[in-house]
Amino acid sequence: MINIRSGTRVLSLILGVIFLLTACTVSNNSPSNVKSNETTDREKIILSCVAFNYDEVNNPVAKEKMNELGYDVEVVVLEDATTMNEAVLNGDINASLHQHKPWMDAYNKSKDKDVFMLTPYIHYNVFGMYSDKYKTVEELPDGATLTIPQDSSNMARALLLLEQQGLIKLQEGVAIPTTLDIIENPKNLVFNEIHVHQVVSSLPDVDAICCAKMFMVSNNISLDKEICTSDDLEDFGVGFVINPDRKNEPWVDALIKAYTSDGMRDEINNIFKGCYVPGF
Amino acid sequence: MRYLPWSEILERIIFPSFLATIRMLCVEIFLAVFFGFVIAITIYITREDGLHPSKVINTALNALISIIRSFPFVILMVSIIPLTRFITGSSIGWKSALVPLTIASTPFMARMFENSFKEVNPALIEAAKSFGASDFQIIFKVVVVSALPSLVSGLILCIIHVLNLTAVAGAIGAGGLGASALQYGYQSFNNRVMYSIVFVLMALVILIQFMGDRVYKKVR
Repeated sequence: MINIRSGTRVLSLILGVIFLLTACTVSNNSPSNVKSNETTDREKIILSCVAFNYDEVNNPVAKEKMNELGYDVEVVVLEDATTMNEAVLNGDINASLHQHKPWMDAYNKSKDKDVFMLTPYIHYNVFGMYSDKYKTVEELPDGATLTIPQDSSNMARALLLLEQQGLIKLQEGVAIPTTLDIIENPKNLVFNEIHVHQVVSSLPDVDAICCAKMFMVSNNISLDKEICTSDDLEDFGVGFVINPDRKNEPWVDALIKAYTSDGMRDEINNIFKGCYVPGF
Repeated sequence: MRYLPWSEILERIIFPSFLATIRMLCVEIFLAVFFGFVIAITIYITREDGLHPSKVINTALNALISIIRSFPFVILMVSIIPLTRFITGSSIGWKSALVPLTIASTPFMARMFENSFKEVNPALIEAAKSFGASDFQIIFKVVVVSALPSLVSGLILCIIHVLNLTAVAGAIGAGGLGASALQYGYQSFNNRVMYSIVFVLMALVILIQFMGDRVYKKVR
């Protein structure tokens, strides 16, 4: 009897708390919604990027310029480019800044879509090979273990870098190669394909890693571990990706103007310390 | 990505990753059942009305389980990299993935087992005690035996849960079906690869459930 009664009491307490919390959130929400509707007479532009590029896309220099041109910028952080492209095509967001041109082309081709990259590019992403143990490509021994990113866009650059260094040979005419496209591997390199964020943390465990220089900089790892960087920067331009139907809308010009200013060039150099090169 | 014929999908993607999944799953389940069982039994006997009540041990273990279970798996995996490297000598590969997988699934397993033990009728234990049964006998001959059907169904639930976790472990190069579906399917825009792997996973889950149900019927 006592048990049942205290049970009911606990239950009613829990329900009460839930009710209170809901009430609070509701009452908190509504005024702020009203307020934001009142203050904005500027058109809202929603941009998207990964957490990584947040400081670049959400940059005060560019956002101020957008304000001057009559737009409010909101930045949404998303996980990957596929999600971003779906959102761009649905009209949930205006533009995304993440994927490079070859990746977007491959996406368009295989998904039969037509997302469009604005030029000039915003930045190029420096990609390199790093090692705790070796200083040059030639030193890598037979059967060396390498960590490469497992997502198609980064893996492709890693493999192309390895090919450029003469370590492997890839099937010809494949735009976004995967490890399945390796046809010659004279040094019998062993590949570990892991998540792009984990590549750097595997540095002590393998002979060399291939990743975007960004990860070395953001993990504060000394850059003297650099063996080589890829010389194909211009092939991997990163620009804003939009829905092709909106190409001629006025916000597109504003977006380019705001993000390719001299001020933004300095910002990119400052934020990314050489691992991103401005593309304009 | 270039066009992959079925033979290549099967031979170079599905078959090796199927083996990797099974290998990982078997070792992992063995470890998690072992540690989970030990923890569950400890919690069970240190309960307030257990065989050897001990508030300290009981509270500590319960808290530990809740703490580990609150970690999102990816974050757990990344935050224990030093431990993983200490145990397996590397932070990547399927053997290294076993460390976070075991740590993540042991509390789940322990909670499952403990819930089963809790359902055992206390009168049974009192009766066994009055016959002069030892603690060991009470646990293995009374509690485990009468909780067996519910232990089996809990175990099946855990196995399928771990199968899902192995997909995430692909992030540190563990390989396996889930990781290949993400890497060669989703990331490479290859729906054929993605859905054929999902199909294999479906078959695997159905098979595990089917066998589990058979065992359940046998022990009930």
